[in-house]
Amino acid sequence: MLGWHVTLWTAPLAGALVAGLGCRRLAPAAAHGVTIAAVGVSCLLSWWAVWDTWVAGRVFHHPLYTWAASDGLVLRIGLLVDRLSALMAATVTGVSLLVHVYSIGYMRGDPGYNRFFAYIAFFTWAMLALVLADGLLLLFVGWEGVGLASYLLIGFWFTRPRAGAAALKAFLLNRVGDLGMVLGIAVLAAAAGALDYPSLFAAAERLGGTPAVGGLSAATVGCALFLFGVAAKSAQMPLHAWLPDSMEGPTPISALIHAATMVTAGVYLVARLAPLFEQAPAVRTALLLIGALTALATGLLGLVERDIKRVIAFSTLSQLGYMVAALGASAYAAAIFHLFTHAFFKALLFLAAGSVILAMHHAQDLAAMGGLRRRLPLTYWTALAGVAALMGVPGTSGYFSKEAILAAVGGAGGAAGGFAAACLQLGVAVTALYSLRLFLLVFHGAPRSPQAAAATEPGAVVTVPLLVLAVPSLFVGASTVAPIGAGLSALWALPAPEGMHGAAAALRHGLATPAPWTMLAAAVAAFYLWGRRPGPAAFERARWLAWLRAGYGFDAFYERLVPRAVLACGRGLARRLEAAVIDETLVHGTARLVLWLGAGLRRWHAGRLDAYALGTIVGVLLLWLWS
Amino acid sequence: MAVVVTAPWPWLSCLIGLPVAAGGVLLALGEARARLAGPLAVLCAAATVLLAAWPLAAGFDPAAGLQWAERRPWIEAFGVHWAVAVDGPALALILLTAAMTLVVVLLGGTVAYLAAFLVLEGLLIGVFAAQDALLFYAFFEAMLLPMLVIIGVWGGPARRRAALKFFLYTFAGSVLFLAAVLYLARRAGGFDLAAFGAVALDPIEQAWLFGAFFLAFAVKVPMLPLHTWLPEAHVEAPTGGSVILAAITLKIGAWGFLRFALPITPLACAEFAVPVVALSLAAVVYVGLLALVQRDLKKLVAYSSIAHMGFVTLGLFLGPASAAAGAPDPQAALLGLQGAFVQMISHGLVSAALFVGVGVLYRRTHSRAIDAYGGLAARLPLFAALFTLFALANTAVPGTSGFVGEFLVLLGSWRLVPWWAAIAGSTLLLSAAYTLWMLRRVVFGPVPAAAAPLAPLDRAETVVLAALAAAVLILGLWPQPLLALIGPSLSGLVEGMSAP
Repeated sequence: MLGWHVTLWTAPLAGALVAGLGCRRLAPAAAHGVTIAAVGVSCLLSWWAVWDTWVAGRVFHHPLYTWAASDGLVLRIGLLVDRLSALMAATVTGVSLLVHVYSIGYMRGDPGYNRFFAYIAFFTWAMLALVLADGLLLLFVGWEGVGLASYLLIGFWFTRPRAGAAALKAFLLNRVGDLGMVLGIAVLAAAAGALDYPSLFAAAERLGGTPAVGGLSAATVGCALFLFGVAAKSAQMPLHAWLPDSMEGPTPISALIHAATMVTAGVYLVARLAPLFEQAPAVRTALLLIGALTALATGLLGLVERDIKRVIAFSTLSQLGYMVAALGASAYAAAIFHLFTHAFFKALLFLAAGSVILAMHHAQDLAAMGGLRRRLPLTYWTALAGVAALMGVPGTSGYFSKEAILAAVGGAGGAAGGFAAACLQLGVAVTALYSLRLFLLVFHGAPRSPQAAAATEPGAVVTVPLLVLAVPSLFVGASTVAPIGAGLSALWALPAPEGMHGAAAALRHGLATPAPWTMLAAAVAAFYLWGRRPGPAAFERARWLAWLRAGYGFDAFYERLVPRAVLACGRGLARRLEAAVIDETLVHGTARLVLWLGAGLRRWHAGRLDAYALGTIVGVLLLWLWS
Repeated sequence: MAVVVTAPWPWLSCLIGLPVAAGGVLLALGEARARLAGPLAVLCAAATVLLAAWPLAAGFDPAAGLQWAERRPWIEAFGVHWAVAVDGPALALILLTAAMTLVVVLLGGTVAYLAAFLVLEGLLIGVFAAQDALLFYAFFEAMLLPMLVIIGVWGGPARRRAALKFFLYTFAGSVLFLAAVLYLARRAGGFDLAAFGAVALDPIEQAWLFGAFFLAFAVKVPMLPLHTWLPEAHVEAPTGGSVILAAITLKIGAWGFLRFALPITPLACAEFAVPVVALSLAAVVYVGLLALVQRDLKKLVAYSSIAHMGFVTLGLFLGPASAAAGAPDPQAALLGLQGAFVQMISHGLVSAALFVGVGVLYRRTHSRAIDAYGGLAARLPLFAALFTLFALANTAVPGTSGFVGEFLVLLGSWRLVPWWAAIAGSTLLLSAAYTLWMLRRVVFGPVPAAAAPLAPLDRAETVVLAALAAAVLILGLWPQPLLALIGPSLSGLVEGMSAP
């Protein structure tokens, strides 16, 4: 299997290299042909791996090569194919393949067409490295690799200043997380002497039991540092501010990277390292709080946003908050299950938004849309499926995964658990509000601009992926809730989370909780607010909501305060310390001192005999006194 | 303990002699025969690369310590020998020197310019191979001369001042170094480096000697606050000068610590380790902040060099720092040394590539101002792609060589003092900020309205940049071969330092 799994991992890289190196010579069809073929191969092999691990129950560990060896620490690159990584790989390559196909239509005629396909194939490879890694070393290679792909793709239209700013912001905020990752890796390398998962897990209890730094255990310190990585990559507060701006990139990217796959890497990391996080209860409490707060607070932002893609981006932030909260409640299987269903319905929503944007000639303002239901029927119906799943309408995929999370967090207990459960319940209502607002403003009412009135549905390469994604958005949850719950939990020797014991049980249990009913109430409110009169509601522009439109001030902090402070610091140091003290006083001062000494001494060497005689006498006297 | 002659044939003497002789031939040919001299220079530089790699093909054993040793009397009256040999680390740096000289020669120049670089190459190889302290000193001083000429003759408008500053700074350090060498030679009864390491020195003697070594080598690295010559020298130096300055001569500072300070004065290294670490960390943070506000491309790369060299000195002094804390940690020491060394090689490749990149731009626009550029991704796509790769390597993205050394040093420093790792780790943010912000303004963004079309990369530029890119990626994806080459010698150094 080694060969197949290596092929599964590296095929997209081969595609990216061909498309990238030949980017100026290849015909567009060749560029997308080779990358689609490569990702297709990966996709097929991933589903084979899913069969191997889920049905046949096998686990593969392939050490590939020694990356670096030092005294007592050997860092290896290798692959681990088990249920978790195979499921992730299948999700990643599946969505990636659809996004590749969709991009044929979306990117048609773009001068950077070939480059685009090279980037997304490279992204797929890096994401597979992150997912299939057998240890933290290759995971981190993939981790920064996907960050790099994200940076390149957010800034894809590089002549637009806003794209460049968004790309830089994304990279730098992610680097805050990467710093945490590197230090966390250093903690574990020092404490466990290895970075591969099997060794780390074997040592998990020791890592959790023995104090390492400042009286805290290595597991606690390491996981706490990984928290930075999780918050940055999975866009949790307060490191979330890059994700809405990442919408400057082409829409297929928003679907693939900034919704379905890359942003879930933080969730995957915690689930992957579950044995270590189980040893760090304080860190799990932090996850619970951060996740719940993000789920509610970023959902609210979706209520006042006017840009169609940014609304969906806020929705992604909010849903990632649900996953992170589930991790905090030790419901790893529920988090991964929501990751899995979310990948489909969120990719679907973004691709539907892309279809709308194409039809609207790249206008993205909700105020200019309306009435697209009749102009874009396929997009309308598939988007409805996506919205239903996002809201968690009972029976859709999103219902089952969100229900599992709500049940797990509700059972977490403690003050933090209670707070988180309340946030997530409120979040259900907020989700219904912003989802339906989006849906109604885009598709219902009368067209509010000439573009909307004249919109036509894009061709089959765009609509077929929508149809393909609508199927799992609606149905994959019911059929997989029980096997994923049991199968994943077995990996960590945990019981399957409550709410993942079967579709029928989950429906019965869920309908007895407030969640579906708050959702229903919110849906009614949404129809009342946005359904009766077309166009944005009046309250969206209310003055008392300015803080919401400003995103709680995070953007001002990251875009103005921090850069200004750092640059002022740099300029101040350059002028006051570097130029004035070090170069002028120290360096040139030394030079002047030497000149001054030379000039002074020269007076004593003027050839005057009396001066020499005086010097001799004084010298002899001094020597005599000395001895 | 003297150097034992083990070379089956005088490989190192040939390696030192070939480029120097080639430089002489070039000068004899003169500018009038440039069409003959140019290809000849490339041929000689390429031959030197192959010759430098010879031991690898002839069964070089990294675990066997110094090899290919030659020793013959040079100045018999003073007991000075022509004693040269290489171990793994020396061979790695010699290969880097040969490769970088080939890069410079490929990019071309006047005949005298090429000759200066070939002569410089021979002297630099001599520095890394010398096993006799006075021979080392001779090479160490002699290499200043071609460098001085390169900056002073082919440099920018303020080249005289920059060359003088460069010369005075480094010369001041090396005078003290000579005094230290003479003192040690009297104690050891000869100039053999191996004998220096065997002299029993009391802590006071070690402190004085360390002081002399430190000044000589800290200027070269350069370490804070002795660094202000570097940005000036880089800005005025021609492209080739910057390449060799950044890629090789800065490494001689670190090499000096590795060959002299650490093995000969281990007690003093431990004594002063914490201040040295503090200066290294200050270099990372303070110089990183300075790099952020530079408006001149070359100055930005120069400041970035100083910040990256901070990781080298940090790594070198992890072992002594652990000894100073009373808990010698050989694992941290080795991680530090390995990381520092990989960082030296990687910085050699990356900073050289960035300087070549700046040179490529300067050749076309005669400007180094960051504000003068924009939208290169549209105007010079191939260049933009390669330059982006080197920028990413500069910010230590995994998969590039820039990651390896910094990662290993961070792993080592966390073992000793987690705060050191956290402060050093701030480079992840700072280097990304200054490098990618520069990238945003130079490579991305709108094309300036008044921009003239730029000539695409010529063949030599493409070959050079592509080869450097390949090296950066290979070293980043699979650093183990390099670590295997340098590991045994560094382990030996760790053992030597921890032995009483």
